[in-house]
Amino acid sequence: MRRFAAIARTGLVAVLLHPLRSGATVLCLVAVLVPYVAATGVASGLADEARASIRSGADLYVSGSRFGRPAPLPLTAIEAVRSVPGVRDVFPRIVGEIGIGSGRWPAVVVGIARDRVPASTPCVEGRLFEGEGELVMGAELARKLEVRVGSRLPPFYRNRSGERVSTVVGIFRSDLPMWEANLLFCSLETASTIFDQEGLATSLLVTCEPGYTQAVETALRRLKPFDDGGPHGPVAPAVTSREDVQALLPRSLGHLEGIFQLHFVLAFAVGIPLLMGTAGLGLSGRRREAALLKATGWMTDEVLLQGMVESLVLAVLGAGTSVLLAYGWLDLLDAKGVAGIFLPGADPAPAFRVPFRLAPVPALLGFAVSLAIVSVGTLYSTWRAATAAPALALR
Amino acid sequence: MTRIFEARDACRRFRDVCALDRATLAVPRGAFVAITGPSGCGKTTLLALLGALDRPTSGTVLFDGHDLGGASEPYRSRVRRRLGIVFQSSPMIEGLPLWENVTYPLVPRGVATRERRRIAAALLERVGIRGRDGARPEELSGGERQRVGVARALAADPEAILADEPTSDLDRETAAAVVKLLREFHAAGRTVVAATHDPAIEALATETFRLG
Repeated sequence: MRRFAAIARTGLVAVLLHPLRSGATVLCLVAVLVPYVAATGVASGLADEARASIRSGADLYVSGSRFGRPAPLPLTAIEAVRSVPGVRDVFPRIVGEIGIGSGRWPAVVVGIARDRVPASTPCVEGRLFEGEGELVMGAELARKLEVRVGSRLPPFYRNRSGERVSTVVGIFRSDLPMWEANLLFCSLETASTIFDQEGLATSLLVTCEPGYTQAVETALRRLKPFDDGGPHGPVAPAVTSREDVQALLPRSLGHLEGIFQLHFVLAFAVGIPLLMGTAGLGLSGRRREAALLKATGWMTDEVLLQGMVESLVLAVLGAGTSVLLAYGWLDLLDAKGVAGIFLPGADPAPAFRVPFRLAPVPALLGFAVSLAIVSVGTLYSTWRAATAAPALALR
Repeated sequence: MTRIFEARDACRRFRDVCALDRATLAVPRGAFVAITGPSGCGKTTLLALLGALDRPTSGTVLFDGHDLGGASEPYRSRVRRRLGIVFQSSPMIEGLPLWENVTYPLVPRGVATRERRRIAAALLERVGIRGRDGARPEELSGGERQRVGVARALAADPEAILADEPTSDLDRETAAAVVKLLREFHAAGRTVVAATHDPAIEALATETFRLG
């Protein structure tokens, strides 16, 4: 044990003895790992927020289906849904995307009754919408559009009965910061006008009596198609439970994370030879040192153990620095640059707080990857040096 | 008297260059052997073969009756652990304090750091470098480096010292100090094999082996 500790100490000394080699290796590790740790941190944070959002949402979501594809529902469906035993509350919602402003910024319009606006989105300026044409905007969207409370927006939509000027009456911040990036709330009627879909909603949000959710879901699936006598005929009900939405979450986030990871793997493939190069930096010096150790009676495995400890220390330094820098990037710099990958429509430098959570798994993975790469780089060169005849390396 | 080192027709070739040609030598335990000969005759190469720092291209090199040429690397490392080697070029780990450089052979033996510092201080004092335990090799003159090399060779209390031109490039006073150390080591019943041009070392030798 004492022998092991004495050799391990020389590994630590080797890190300090070669500041250029150690510094270059740690820098390379940091360059590769920081984006990875930061991006997985944002992905975890977004997943947490999405789960929180789902938890605070409705028990069931009823939408329409035509030809097996999503279709809006007639508002007359509300009564049919409300009549199902176990249903406590039903309210309609319109959710749709639209381009807004001169840059046609993608915005998500949520048309909803005033008293149904989520409590997690308090107005920080102005008030909630009351009349038609009044909008409440996410702070980040308002910043992008350079509007404030009282600003009037020229018509940004086409409607058969004519377009109107809209007024921003409130700006909200949210417990779910990503909502601030592209959401705007308005009344159901205003949303109907914006999308030119009178008498329709994109979904009905259903709250059930405790213990009735399953029964209500089954009953809703058995409802006859909703028919308001419109020209396109009836619309079949499609029911999505909270669990269904939760199940969809990893798929959508996982997709974005997957794209990122693919890029990361490609970057990594380029980074590995670089890291191996820096880890083996000063190869002639390393060979000479290893030869000297061998000449003074060190065994090959003892020289390798020294190299292993050196690798371990460099990996800990690299991974630790990466986690700290990633934390700084996410917390102090609000994930500038990386947020846009996971939040479509968000600025590279969003003004809102990007959610993040530094989970232990990516950090540990980062450490393991650091150790593997540095070990390969360091140990290979050390092994080559340690197995050569000392006399040759010392010539 | 048993033979600690033996070479039988030992050859070492580097591609087309013959660095050592059929050297035959026997070193009894406790002897002081001077290897002499003109520059380039293979003195350093012979010492490297005897010290298990290299393998012969042909012929046999024995340590304590065991063949070093075909021995496994761990065995050869164990042999080196029993020897102290003084290199002509005094290689050291640059940037590392002298006390660490001197006692690096003790690290795999698990000697505690405090004990290593004590041993290093005593050895450095013996070779005339007092109070500079914390100095770096790059701060030393050529003569001082050579003396530190001798101190390192003595650190692990070896059975034999293989010294390659231990007094070359040293002033007379320093050379005398190194010769004195080798004499003391030999007087304690240990073996010294020195490749040298120095008449002072040749005068000490119990046997002289001439190469070339």
